[in-house]
Amino acid sequence: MRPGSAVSTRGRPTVLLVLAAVLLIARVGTGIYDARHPPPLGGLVKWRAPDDAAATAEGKPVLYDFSAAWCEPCKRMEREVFANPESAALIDASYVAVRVADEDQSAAAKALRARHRVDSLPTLVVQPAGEGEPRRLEGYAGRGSVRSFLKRALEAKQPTMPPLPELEGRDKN
Amino acid sequence: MSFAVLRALIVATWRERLLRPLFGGLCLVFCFSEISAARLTHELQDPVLILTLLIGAGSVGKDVSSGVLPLLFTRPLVRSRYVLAKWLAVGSAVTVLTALTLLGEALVLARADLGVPRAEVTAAIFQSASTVFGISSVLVFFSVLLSSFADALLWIGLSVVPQIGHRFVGQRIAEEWQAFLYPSLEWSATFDHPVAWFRVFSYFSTVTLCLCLAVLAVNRKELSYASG
Amino acid sequence: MSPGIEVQGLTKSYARAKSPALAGVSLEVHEGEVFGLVGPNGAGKTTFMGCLLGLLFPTAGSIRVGGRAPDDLELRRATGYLPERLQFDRWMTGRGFLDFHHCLAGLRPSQRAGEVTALLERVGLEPAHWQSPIKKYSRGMLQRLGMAQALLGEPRFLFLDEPASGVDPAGVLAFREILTDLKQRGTTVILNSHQLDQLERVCDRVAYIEGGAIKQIENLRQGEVGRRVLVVRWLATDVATAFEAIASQVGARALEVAPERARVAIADDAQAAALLRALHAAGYPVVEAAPESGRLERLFRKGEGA
Repeated sequence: MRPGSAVSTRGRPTVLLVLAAVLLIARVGTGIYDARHPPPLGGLVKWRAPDDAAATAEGKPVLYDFSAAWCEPCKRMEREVFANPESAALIDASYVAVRVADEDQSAAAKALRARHRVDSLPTLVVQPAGEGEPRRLEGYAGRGSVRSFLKRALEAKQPTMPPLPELEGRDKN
Repeated sequence: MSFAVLRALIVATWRERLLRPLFGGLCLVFCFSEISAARLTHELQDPVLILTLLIGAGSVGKDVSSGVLPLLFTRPLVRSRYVLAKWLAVGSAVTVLTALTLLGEALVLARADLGVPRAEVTAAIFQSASTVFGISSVLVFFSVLLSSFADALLWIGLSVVPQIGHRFVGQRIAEEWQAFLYPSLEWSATFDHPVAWFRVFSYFSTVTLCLCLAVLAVNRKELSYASG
Repeated sequence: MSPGIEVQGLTKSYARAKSPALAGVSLEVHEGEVFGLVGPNGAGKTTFMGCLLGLLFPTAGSIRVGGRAPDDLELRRATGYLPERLQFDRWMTGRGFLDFHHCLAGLRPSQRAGEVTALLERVGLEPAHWQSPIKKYSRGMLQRLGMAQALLGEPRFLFLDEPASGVDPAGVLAFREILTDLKQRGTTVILNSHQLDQLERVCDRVAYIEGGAIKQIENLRQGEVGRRVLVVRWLATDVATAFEAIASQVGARALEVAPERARVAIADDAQAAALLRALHAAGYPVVEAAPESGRLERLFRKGEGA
C-alpha cells in the first residue's frame, strides 16, 4: 500500500456540488427573469368578457378560463399556453374563449362560477356547442395536458356514464 | 470504485425491494388497479407516486435500522456511490413498472377504441420517469437522515402542508415547496419550443441538491454496533 | 510510517453523555500482532473498534492503520471486520451473501466461486446450508458466516468483536485454528472478547480497558525461552539451593520467585519433568505444578496487579 495515493471513502462529491450550485443559480436566475418579463395580459388569445351574450351563440364550443392575477399556476398557464402562438391559434380557431377573472365580481361572472362549481384555480371548462356535459380541467399540469384536454374536448364522444368530476382532471400540482 | 460494485448494490436493492412477497404483490395489485381505472376514466392514470413511496421508502434508512450498513461501509465503497446506487435502483425499478403500467393502460384504451396517441403515451412515460427520479432523490435524502421508513412518512407529512397551509405561507412559497417535494419534467415544457427553462432548471436543481445533501449527510454519519 | 496500527490521544465524546466514551487512548499495535481487548461492558471497546474502522469519528486524537486514515479506500481493501452480533440481509442465502461481499470487496469475479467455497469450508459451515436463506441460520451458523465474510480477500487487518459468542466448542476450535493460521500469515488482528482463556491462548498482548481508558497492557508472550509458564508451589522449608539455580540448570527461566511459589517459563513437557525431578532432588516439597492461567482474570479483580 503506497501511502501517497489516499482516496477517502468519505470524499466530498465535488462534481455533484458544483452541478447543484450551478443549477441552483440558473433556477433562481430564470425565476427572476420570468418574474420580470411577464407575458402580455391575456396572452395571444382573443378573450371575451363573461357578460358577452354573443359568445355562447356562435356555434363553437366555449372555453371558460377561471383564473386570478395572484395565482401562480394561472400565470404559468398564461405564459406557456395562452402566450404560446401555437396553442393560442388552436384556441382561437376552435373555441370561443371567455376569461372569468377572480377579481371580476360582476353578476355574470359570479353566475358562471356558481354554475360550474369552481372552487380551485385555475379551472378550464369547455361547454360544448350543442347539448352535452361540460368538461373541466382543474389545476395546471403542463402545456401538454392542457393541449390534450382541449383536443379531446373537441373530439369528445358522449361518454357512456357521467364522468365523476374528481377523475376528469388530475391536479398534479 | 468499479462499475461492478455499483451494479451489485443496485441489483441487491432491486432484489430486496421487489422480491418481498407482500410488497411485490402490493405493487402488482396497484398497477392492475391503475389499468382498470384507466378503462373507467378513459385517461392515462399515473401510478408514479404510490409506487415510488412503496418501493423507495427507507432505501438507506432500512439498511441503518436493520444494522447492515456498518459492515457495508467497512468495504472499499465510496459512500457517495452508495447513495447514487440507491437512487438509481429505486428510480429504475419504479420507472420500469410505471412504463409497463402506462403501456398496459394504453393497450386497454386502444382495445376499447379510445386510443391514446403514441406521442401522449411517450410524454406520459417521460414525465413519470422524471417524477420517479425526482421524488426518489428527495426520498433518498430524507432516508439518510431518518431510519427505517420514516422518510416516506416525512415526505407525506410535508406534502400535505402546502395543501392546507397555502393561505398562510403564501402562494409562491407553497409552489416552491411543492416543486421541491414533487420534482417533475413535462415533455412539452422541455422539448417544445419555447423551452420552459425555469421548470427545467428547477427540476434538475432539486434533484442534484437532494443527492448532494444526501451524500454530505451520509459522509458525516456515524455508524456503530456500539453499546459498550 | 508504521505498517501496524498507531493510535494517539484518541478521544471520543458523544453529545449528551456525561463522560467521554474514550478518553485519550494511545496505543501501538505492531504488524502481525494479535492484540486483545478486555474490559467490563461499557468500557469503550466497541467504540474503540468503531473508530479504528472509520465508522465513528474521533473528537480528538489521531489514528493510523497501516499508515493510512481509517476511512481510506485502499485500507478498506485490506480490512476485515466481524462485528458483535452481526446483522445480515436476511433474505440472502449464505452463499449469496458472501458473493455479494466478495464483489463489494472488489475481488475478481472469476475466482469468486472458488474463494467463497473455500471460505465456507474453512469456517465449518455445512454445505447443506449454503443455499438456504440466512433467516433460517442458527446463532452459531451466523457467527461462522460472519467470520467467513471477515476473511474475504485475506485482509491484512482483521477486527474481531466477540467472534466466538454463541459458537459451539467445535466452532471455537475452528476459530482458534483460523487465528493461528492468520498469525502465521502475519495478519494484524484486534480481538475483543470476554473469553479470557481463549485470549490467553492466542493473543500476544492484551489491553485492559475501563471507563474509556487503557488501564494496563499485558504482554502474554514474555520470555523468549518458553511458550508456557508453569506455576510451582511448595511447602515452606529450608533448602540449600535457590530456585533460580535449579531452573537454569534444566534450561528453564524463573520469571518470578516468592517464598512458596514461583513462575517459570519452560519450553516443553520434557523440561517441565526435568525441573520437577530436580526440585525433588534438591528437597523442595512440591505441592502443585500447573500451567499459569488467569492472568487476565486478575485484571478484573480490583486492587490486584498482574
